[in-house]
Order: sequence, then C-alpha cells, then structure tokens
Amino acid sequence: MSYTKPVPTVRPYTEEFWEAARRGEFLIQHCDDCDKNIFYPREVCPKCQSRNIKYVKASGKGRLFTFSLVEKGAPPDFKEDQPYVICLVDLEEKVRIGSMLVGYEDYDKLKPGMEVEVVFHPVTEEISLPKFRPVGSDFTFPELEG
Amino acid sequence: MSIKGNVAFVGYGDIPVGKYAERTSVQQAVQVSLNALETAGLKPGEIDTIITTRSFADEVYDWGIGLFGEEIGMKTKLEFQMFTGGASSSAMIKVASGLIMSGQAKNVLMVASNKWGTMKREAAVDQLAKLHHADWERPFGFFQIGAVALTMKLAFVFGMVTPEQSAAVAVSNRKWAAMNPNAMYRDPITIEDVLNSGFVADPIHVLESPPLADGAAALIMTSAADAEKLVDQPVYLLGAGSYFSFSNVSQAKAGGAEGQAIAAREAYEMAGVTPQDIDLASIYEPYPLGTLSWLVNLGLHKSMKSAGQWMLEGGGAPGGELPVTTDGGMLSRGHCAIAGGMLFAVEAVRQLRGEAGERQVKDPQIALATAMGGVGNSAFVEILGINP
Repeated sequence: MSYTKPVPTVRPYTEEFWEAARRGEFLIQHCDDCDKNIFYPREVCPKCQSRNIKYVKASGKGRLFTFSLVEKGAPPDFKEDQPYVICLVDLEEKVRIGSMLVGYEDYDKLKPGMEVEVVFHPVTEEISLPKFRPVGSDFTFPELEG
Repeated sequence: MSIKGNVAFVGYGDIPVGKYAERTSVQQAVQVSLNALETAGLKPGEIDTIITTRSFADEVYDWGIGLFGEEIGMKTKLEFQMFTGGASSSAMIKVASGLIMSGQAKNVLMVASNKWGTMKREAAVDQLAKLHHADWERPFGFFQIGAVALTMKLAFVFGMVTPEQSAAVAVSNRKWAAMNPNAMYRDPITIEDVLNSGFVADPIHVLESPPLADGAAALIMTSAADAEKLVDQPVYLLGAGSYFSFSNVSQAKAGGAEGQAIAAREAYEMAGVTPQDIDLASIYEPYPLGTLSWLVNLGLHKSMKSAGQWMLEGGGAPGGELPVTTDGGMLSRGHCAIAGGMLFAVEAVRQLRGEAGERQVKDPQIALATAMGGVGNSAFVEILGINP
C-alpha cells in the first residue's frame, strides 16, 4: 500500500534536511550572522533576513510544549488515524516544531514539559517524517516495504 | 490626518446564516449588497469602489475575477479582492477608509459570501487544511481546529480557565442567538450540553467549535460629510488597529493571541477612548477561549480566569454588565468564513443604529468589533461610535 497522505515536497533548500532524515539525523538551520537557530527550514533567516544560513545537526531531543488529541475534526486524509495526537515540541536547540506524538502509553498522563525525542517515520523513498515519542519509549515505525 | 470620525458606515447587509443549498455564493453576495444599499439610501450606480474577497465555495460558484460586480450589474472605478482569512473584512475597512480619506473613493461597498454550510463537507474541511503549511504542518495531521486546540490546551493544563467557564461562552452566545432571526442555531443549550458533546480536538468540545455555514455580509462606507447627508445615524469609525505576527502555530508567541493587545491599543489610542467607554463588544470567537482572551487583551478583564468567571455569571449575556457578541457569533449564528468575520462589524453597526430588534442593546454610544485571521495570525479591532 502506497502512502496517500500529504507528503512534503523536496525543495532545493530542504534537500539536505530530508537526506539527513533518511539517515535518522535531525537537522535545524543556524544563521551565521545573528546566531539564531531556525526551524522550520527557510531560505532566509526569519530574524535578520540573512541568506547566510546553514544546516547543523540537532539533538532531536526536547520537551513537549503542548499537545492535543484529535478525536473528530481531522482533515479527510487523516480520518482513519483518529484518535491521534498533534504536538508542539521545544527542542534543546531552542526551536519549536509542530509534529505528531507517538508511542505514548496514556494520553491523560501527558504533560507539557515532558521529555520527548525524534523518531523518524519513513513514508516514501525520499521522505522520513520527524515525529516524536516520550523519552523511554521504544516505539519505532516499520521500514518501508520493498 | 487620523481616520477618527472622518469616515462612517452608512449601510449594512446580511441574510439568514445556515444551510441554504439553493443559494449560490455570488447570489448571496448580491442579496446582502442590495440590503446594504437600501439601508444606506444609495443606488447601485453610486458605488464607485467594490472590495470583495475569496469565496469559500464549491468551485463552480467561485467568483473568478469580477463575477460579483457583473452579476449585480455594477461598473465601478475600482473592483478588487482582499484576503487575510477571517479578518479579511477588517483589512477591507482599513483600506476603504484610506481610499476615502485620500479622495480616491467616494462610496465603498465591501462584500463577502461563503458556502461552508452546504458545499461538500470534506471539501470545506480540506480547503481549511490547505491553509496550513504544505511541508511542515499538513503532513503531520495539522488543521484549523487542531492548531487552535494546541494553544488552548495550555490554558486548561495551567488552570488559567475551567471547562465550565469556557462552556459558558457558548451558552451566552446561544442566548443572544435566540433573539437573532438570522442565526443558525437558536435553541437554548446548557453548560452540561457543551461539556457532554465530546471533543473535536482536546480541549475543544463539539459545541465549542463553530458550525460551518452558508452566509454573506456587506458594509458600505463613505466620508463622514457624505454620511451625514445620506442617513439619520451614521456609524463613525473612531479607531482601527491591527497586528500580524505569524502563519504557522509553531511560530506563534503567547498562544497565538499576541496581536490582540497591540491591535486593541492602536484602536483605543486612535479613538481616544478607554475600555470603560465600550457599551458593546462584538467579539470574533470561533472558539470560547478566543472570547476570553479578547476580553483580557481588550483591557476589559484582568485575566482569563476573571473573564471566564464573569461570563459564567452572565456578564456578557443578555441583561449582563457588557453585551458580548450580540448576534450569537460564530458558535451560534454560524461560521460562514470571511462573511462570518464581517458580521461582527455588521452587528456593531446595526446595534449603534438602534436596529437590532429584540436583541437591541439600550442606547449604545460606542461599540467595538474584533476579527482574527487564520489561527490568530492577524488580529484586528475596530471602534465605532454614533458621534464623530
């Protein structure tokens, strides 16, 4: 079964990010002019508009800023996944990322500030989506078939 | 020169909000525009500028370029579309006032119409989801209500507000809607009904999320001098404030409400009024916490908790201390997208003209209307009054 949900497009300035994601590495961007870390990836620094930005390796670890269990409102592509948890995660590198939380045991025990780490979800040959699991969870996604 | 008191609303138009499969988007726009022209005492030929916006509807009824003007049979100096989500009409008001003040327009018709109620539901939800980032939000199951839920969840986790206080906003809105013949839902609801309606996305219950609706709205603005010749009671624009700060919820500060206080400050300063002068607050609120957050950022309450407690005790309901969202708002009058945003200003104008029927507030002098685009990306405040 091929993956039918929305998939990011690989663009010239995000190719490096997705290439690293396939290897299981999480990259963020860093601005060499104003020293700011950047996520999501862009062509210019959102703080100082410099073009002098580059990818750097991030820890992939952070804390849950907030989360929500989606029970009834999902867009058509995600109906079959309900209930699922969307979240915002603050990485150690001081950037915030919107993603999905997986591998948790009890939704009612989730708390902002909880330690989480990236776990990649391979959905196509090109794209492995960075999702998050609680630190201590051994949840992993299956390899792509074929 | 400040816009304060120099431009005024002379006309407003609306139609019943709900599920009306027989009405096309552009037909709705024609009907509300004719209603607005009637309240202004203007003929179609006297409008020299039309500002429309994106129409959320099945494709076949989309407005193309200029379809509305052609359908109603108007030729004007200027016709164009503006879009910043649910706050599009507030952006129109800013642009219209500038065109009038600079002598580039005389009578400006602003109109919005949407078909969220009877277009294919999946298509409506999909249109909304497509407003989210194609690379960094949509692949992760993000969508409108989910993104809003992320910001609202924290208010409950940290005890800034109780579920009952949140539900009280929906109950209050419904009480006002009961007196609005154009509202979509008018039967009473209780706090228990809201809390037992299940989650769309935690912490937003079904009865705390807006019903998608068909609807349309129109406003006509002209100079204060022309307004005084046209109508008995011009509704003057005293202040207009706005602030844009983000698109994706991951990039928002302060739970997505950071623009509200900035927009409010600009509007109050321009109008030369304070929160104590406000007689009626027409608050853009697809979700109850939006109302509470606005009440704080408009300077009407000190905290979400005090605003929530005040709503729970009926402070914003009929007979309360300060009438809040007197047409029933998105939650009960119905969410007809951009038209739904314009209806907050329409309601403020109607109340100030003393034409709100059963739900008329007693002798309001100064009213405010707010709007938000996206998930709080843009915030707008307008202050309106019966004196310049």
